Amino acid sequence: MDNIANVISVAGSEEEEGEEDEESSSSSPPLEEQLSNFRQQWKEELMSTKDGEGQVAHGRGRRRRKSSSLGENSSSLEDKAYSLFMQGVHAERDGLMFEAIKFYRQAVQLVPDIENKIQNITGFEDYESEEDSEGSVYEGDEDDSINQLSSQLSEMNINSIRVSCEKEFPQKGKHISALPIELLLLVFRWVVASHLDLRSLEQLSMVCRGFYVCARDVEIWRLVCQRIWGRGVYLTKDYPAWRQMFLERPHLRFDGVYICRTTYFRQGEQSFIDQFYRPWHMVEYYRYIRVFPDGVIMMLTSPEQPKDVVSKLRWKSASVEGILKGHYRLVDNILSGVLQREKPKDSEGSYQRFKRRNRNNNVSGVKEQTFHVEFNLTGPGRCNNTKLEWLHYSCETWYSASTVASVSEFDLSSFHPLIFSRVKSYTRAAVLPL
Amino acid sequence: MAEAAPLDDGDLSKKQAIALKRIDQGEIYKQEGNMCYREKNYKKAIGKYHRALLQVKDVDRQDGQQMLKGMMGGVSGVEDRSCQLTATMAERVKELEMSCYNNLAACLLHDTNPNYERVKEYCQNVLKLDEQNRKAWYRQGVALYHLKDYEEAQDCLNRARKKVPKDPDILRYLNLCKEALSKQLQAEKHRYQGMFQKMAEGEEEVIEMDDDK
Amino acid sequence: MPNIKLQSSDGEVFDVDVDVAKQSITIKTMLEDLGMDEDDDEAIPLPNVNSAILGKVLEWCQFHKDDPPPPEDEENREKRTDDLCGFDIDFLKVDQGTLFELILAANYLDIKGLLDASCKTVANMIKGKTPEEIRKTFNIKNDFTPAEEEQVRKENSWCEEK
Repeated sequence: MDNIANVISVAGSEEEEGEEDEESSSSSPPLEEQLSNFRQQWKEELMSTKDGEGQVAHGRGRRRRKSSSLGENSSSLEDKAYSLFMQGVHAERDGLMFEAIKFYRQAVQLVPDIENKIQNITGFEDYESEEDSEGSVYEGDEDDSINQLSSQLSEMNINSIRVSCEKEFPQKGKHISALPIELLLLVFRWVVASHLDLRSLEQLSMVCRGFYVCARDVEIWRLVCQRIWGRGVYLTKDYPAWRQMFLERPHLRFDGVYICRTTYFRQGEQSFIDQFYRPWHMVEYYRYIRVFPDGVIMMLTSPEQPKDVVSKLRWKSASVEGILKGHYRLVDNILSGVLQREKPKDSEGSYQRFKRRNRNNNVSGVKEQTFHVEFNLTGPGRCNNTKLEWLHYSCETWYSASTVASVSEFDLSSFHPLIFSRVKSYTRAAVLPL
Repeated sequence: MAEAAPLDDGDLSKKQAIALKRIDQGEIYKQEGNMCYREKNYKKAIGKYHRALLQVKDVDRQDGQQMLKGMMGGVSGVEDRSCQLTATMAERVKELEMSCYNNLAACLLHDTNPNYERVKEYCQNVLKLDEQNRKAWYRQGVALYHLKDYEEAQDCLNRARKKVPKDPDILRYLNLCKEALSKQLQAEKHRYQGMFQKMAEGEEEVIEMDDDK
Repeated sequence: MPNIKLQSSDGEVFDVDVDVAKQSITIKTMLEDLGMDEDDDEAIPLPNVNSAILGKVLEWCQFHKDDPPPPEDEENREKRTDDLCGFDIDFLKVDQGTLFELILAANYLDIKGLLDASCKTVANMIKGKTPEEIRKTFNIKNDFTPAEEEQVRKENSWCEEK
């Protein structure tokens, strides 16, 4: 049905949109005949359809006008052929193959090498639209250009660019474009670094086209995914591309801390002088969680403000009072970790999960404590890795008297989710490459 | 060939001239190397071949632009610095690299105590450029034989045979591999036999012990 | 100590210790193939490197000639100190052009330590900067159309901060 509207619009291509026009400016008789046939059919079908169909003609008409303005400078024959060809493309995209073939045939009849001419005029090719395809027909020009863009951008690839960037102003000395692509990619790998500073990589992709292509290099994103999910990670139907996997599959963020601020009120001591006066204190404390790509997790509860604490949490060797360290695992979006309080004098730290010997003196018979935590990794909309919701928190305590641990589970009702906050200093300088 | 718009880093044709000079010099070194090889002066030949390779290494990459690729596909918006560093020059570089690596492998094999790993490496470099290179397959086979990787060696030698099935050197090495493999097999059999025997004896002992109880 | 002669693209000859030159895997391979014979005093031409850069490269190699070779396995990689040593930091305080030339030379001569240090330096010049700042730092022309720029920004919206 749509195609008929198309043909009508083709016939009236020099005219107003949506209007039926008796005159045809085409000079080739066979076309005229076909057109009048279609016109007849269209009239008939229009009787039995809703008003909404008119919109299709409307939308197509707009596109038609765009195409006609492009062909303004060339002869009307080429113009016609061009519009026919474009209608064919649209029909093909909509899955109407028969109609598409008809249009192509007509176009080729008019101008035999219309296909080549088309390539010169627009860069329009078959693509998979990143936007919603349902709405795009009705939205006309703007959406087309966005789709065209994303197709153009995705079609640029490393093998097609020859220079990575250009100079803005002339300069003495070598410019960064002097580096061949693989050395530039090496630099990009250092930019991402072992701490996975993907944000910087994305900033690079916005610098210029050449950098965009390099920053989307498949190998870099593959290494990133390997770093996050282990060597055995592979592409699946849900995640057919590495960067896509990074964006959509849940993973923790390493370039900052997950913070939760909790406040509660505590009744203060009764004043001696005035019985009726009893102060209330607002107690504020923060819980910080920091994770590293290699499986290390650190948790700290502290009354200190983030700006004072985050710098202390930069390295794995952080030795803040009361810090818990351990290892974690992320399965889908459930984060489970096992942590222990770091023993102060032990030079090896407490990275081991199971300690067999306790070197320090026991306080109140407590031999060892292990904390088990579990979170749900979630987040609003696009930022889908920024929130940790508590699922479980328990503590296993071994007393020196027995070999059995007693487990106490914490009540999570007062535990609020932790929200991710990026810390610039963590990714300020590269230490190891990706 | 002259560019209409002046380029910042100097004329493209100037760069091509430099590249051409390097390729020429590389070929000169290679020829000198070949002479030394014929005179059996292998060390000197090695020196010449390495110098030749240094001439053409990264020659396609002055200032990062891939000069050797014939295709002009560029991102629209970037000037098409059509560099006619031609197919011929690219061919010459490729040929030069292949000969040098092949000849280096040959020289190394003449040594009293050859570095077979290095020979293998150089052969692989040739094969990256030309999968069908008979000499490279052969020499790699020889190297693998000496490195005791007999099955791989056979594989390489058979590939070398494809073009010249009756080459005596290849056949000789294939035989050597076959013999070495069968010796290996014998040794393994012997070892396993010994093992089964020991196991059998061990079982008897255990049975006896039980009886004692 | 045996010496070796290296010749830059512009004809200057550098007479250096073999231990210094062997920091370059390319040269080390060649010397290994030759055995420990002196290469009959003929210089080795390095047409990809000019004299200024070759001089700097050799200076770096001279300083690092007694470095232990870097460990290959992953575990040990994490344990060693990976921050640039003081010498490297000062050594790489050069103009951008020289920095890129050092990268190219280190790649040509296959000197991993220098390549890593110089790439890391460039990377640290990039990290933390906005695209415009990167363009300014490296004198790069923005060849996106406004529409393309918007499209790319959308693709990167995941890392935008509220």
